[in-house]
Amino acid sequence: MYRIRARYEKKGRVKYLGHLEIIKVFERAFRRSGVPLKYTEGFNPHPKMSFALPSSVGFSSTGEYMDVEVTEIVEMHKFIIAMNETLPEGLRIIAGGYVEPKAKSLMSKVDYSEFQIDFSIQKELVGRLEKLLSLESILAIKQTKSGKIVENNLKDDIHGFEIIKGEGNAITLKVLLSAGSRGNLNPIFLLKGLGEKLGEEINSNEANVLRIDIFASTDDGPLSFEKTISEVAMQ
Amino acid sequence: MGMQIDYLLKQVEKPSRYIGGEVNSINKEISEETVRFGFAFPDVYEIGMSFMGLHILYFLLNDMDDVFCERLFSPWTDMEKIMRETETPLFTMESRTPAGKLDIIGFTLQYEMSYSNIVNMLDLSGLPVFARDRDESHPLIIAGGPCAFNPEPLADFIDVVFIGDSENILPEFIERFKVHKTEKTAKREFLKSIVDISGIYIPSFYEADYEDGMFVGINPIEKEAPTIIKKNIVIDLDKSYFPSKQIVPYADAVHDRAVIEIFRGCTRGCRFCHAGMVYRPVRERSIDTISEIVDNIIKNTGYDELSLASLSTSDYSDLGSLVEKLLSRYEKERVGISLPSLRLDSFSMEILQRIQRVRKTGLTFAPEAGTQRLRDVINKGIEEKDLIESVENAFNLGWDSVKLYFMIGLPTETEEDLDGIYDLAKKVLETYYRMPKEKRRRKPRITVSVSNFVPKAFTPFQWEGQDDPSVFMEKHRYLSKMFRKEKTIQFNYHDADTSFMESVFSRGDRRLSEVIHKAWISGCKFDSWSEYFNYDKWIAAMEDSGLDPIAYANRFSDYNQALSWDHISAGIEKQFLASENEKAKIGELTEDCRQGCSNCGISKNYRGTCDV
Repeated sequence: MYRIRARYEKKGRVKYLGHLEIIKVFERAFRRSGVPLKYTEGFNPHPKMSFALPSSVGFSSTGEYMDVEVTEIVEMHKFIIAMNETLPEGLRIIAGGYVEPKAKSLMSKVDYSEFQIDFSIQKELVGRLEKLLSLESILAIKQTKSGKIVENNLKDDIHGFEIIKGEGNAITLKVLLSAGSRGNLNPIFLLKGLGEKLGEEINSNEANVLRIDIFASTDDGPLSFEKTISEVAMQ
Repeated sequence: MGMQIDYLLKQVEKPSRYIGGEVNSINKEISEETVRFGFAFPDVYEIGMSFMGLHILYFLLNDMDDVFCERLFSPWTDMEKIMRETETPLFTMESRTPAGKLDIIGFTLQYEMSYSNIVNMLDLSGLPVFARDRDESHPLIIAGGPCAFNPEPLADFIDVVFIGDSENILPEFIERFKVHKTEKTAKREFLKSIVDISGIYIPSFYEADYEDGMFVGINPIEKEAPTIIKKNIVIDLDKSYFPSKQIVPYADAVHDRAVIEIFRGCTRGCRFCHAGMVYRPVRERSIDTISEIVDNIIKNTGYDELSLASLSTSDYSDLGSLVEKLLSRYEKERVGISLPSLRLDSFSMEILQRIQRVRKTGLTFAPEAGTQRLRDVINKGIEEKDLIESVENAFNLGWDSVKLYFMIGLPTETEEDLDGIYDLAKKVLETYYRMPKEKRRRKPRITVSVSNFVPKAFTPFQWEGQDDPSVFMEKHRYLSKMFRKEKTIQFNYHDADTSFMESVFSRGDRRLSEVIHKAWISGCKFDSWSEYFNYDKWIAAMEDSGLDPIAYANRFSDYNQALSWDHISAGIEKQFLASENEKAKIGELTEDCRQGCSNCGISKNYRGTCDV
């Protein structure tokens, strides 16, 4: 049994697929490509796949990761070509390698996500936005799942940012945010919070969110998941 | 339009219903000559994508040069709301073209309760809903499918109706449309020029007569129009078009699997069954053709389940060999095989036993009626011992979930027949407990589903009346009460009011177009969804049009009464249907066509096509 780790991107129409739909798309793509998948035992066998914190419905992404088990080694470039030939438009594998079959689950290692958010905001507000993001704390009100209203500091989950001015009112905000089970900040929630502080609603339905990559926390700083592929690669 | 749709998609539940771009879906270069076709399914994506006919016609049309067939579905109400707010017209899944810009929009008529959605889709496309209000600048609106056999309730909305099979005539129709498009001939002239194509019906070429509010007949008003429109059939399924692909849907389709039609038509002759009558004669696809097609579909879709579709799968003449061949081919690749509409016989059970090595699905049986007497009335040649033997077999093979389908309100039904439903279900349950204890791994799950009899055009019961909704409800209460004490039997039934409106439409005339329009204006849509069906609005629309729904649902006076579908021929003779209805009354059975011909008229009207 061998385990492949692949990085893929999700762009265009397919960004509206839910995670369960993505899983089905991959299952069928594997079958069409003839990749020798390892199946679970039992009455309803299904391929052994796991994903690292899939990005939300509506976000584009260049940093999605999955592990899949195969019964025999397939040359990686052949695997990538075969999959990309059959995946629907918008889904594309951009890197891959073999990892330890017993490697830790992908999900448990996610600490940060890097996003690029395109939206529009009145020109005069850009300076204030920059200042706001540089503050020690940005308090935002959040309703928890149980319905409790809590105040939290968005800044705790912002680990870096950059503002790029575009044409007219368009701006691009690049941010590194906490992600995963140890803390998570959704960029839509961030936009909402920032809008409230600026006293100007930012329409998140008009914003385009791209997840650039996900990272694990290391002593040397955030490490792109793609690095974990080569680090533990067996080939 | 792309940006705008993106904005909508971020605000709706299940955006994947609207995105398109699925595996095997097609995008084409569009030129001046391209015939732009919209295949329209008047319900949501998940239901439409489960319909085999969509895949057949989609690829048939897209295999033609100069034709681009795209898909249209009913947007769910959340999407429709935002579309109307933002003035976004209905758009195609593939190129996101506004539907009003297409050349042809073809609706498939799968069930009567989707009619209001057709009007809604036309309106969402920015088109006048009535055919008489549309001109040369608008798309041609066509329709086909099982409900097209009595298309009269939709007569005012649709320009061209295809009666019967259409795979073999659509190419000819498109060729002629191309000429019409390039030469810019008048629409009415074009319509006159296509009436010679088999199965084509132009509703606006006919006028219906009424006396004292009763339909008395329908006649052509254009000299080109035939008095009787004969349904079109595909003769040889092996030579007829079947795609080597299917679009692999995103959102959870109701049937999300590979499907191959193994034969068309049915030889059983159940007297209530519309499909069994209108799709005669039976035509089989050969094992070789089936395996070749299936091979391609599995390869091109990556599906892990294959469904062998037909009206009565166990009647395929060599089902054993077919299943054997497919199983040995796909066992290693883990492709499961499902057989919908199996009959209750020992032979089917043997096949099930083979199949279950791959995957075990729930079992469904349709005894339809609770007593032998009533099963004889409807010509359902099933005996109680067949059912019991079959479920016994199934339980022994490890199944513990069985669904039983019944119909209530069938002609001649008495209380005894209702009791019979309960008794039969009870016997099934007892059969489970007769098994040795070690085989009973858990509690069985038995579901009894009761639907309400709807008299359908072109069936022997087309003259029969339907129970009043209040009678149906009384029967539902009666049965519910009996089943309440059986905790292991799940009992459910269909809504009576919906069945009532269904019977109005299944035997309705063209005055109902106004009713549909009025009901739609008052907010009716998605009528097959119980949360949206609004009976009061439909009744108000009937009253507003001066029509009495009971007159449509009631028993017809006699065999000579004019029927609003008399100008359409499904190939079977009215006389045959009448004699079947008479035989029903005395519980006399009619043989399966394979046992002997009962002269329904098909072999006379379509010489050389009926070879059973």
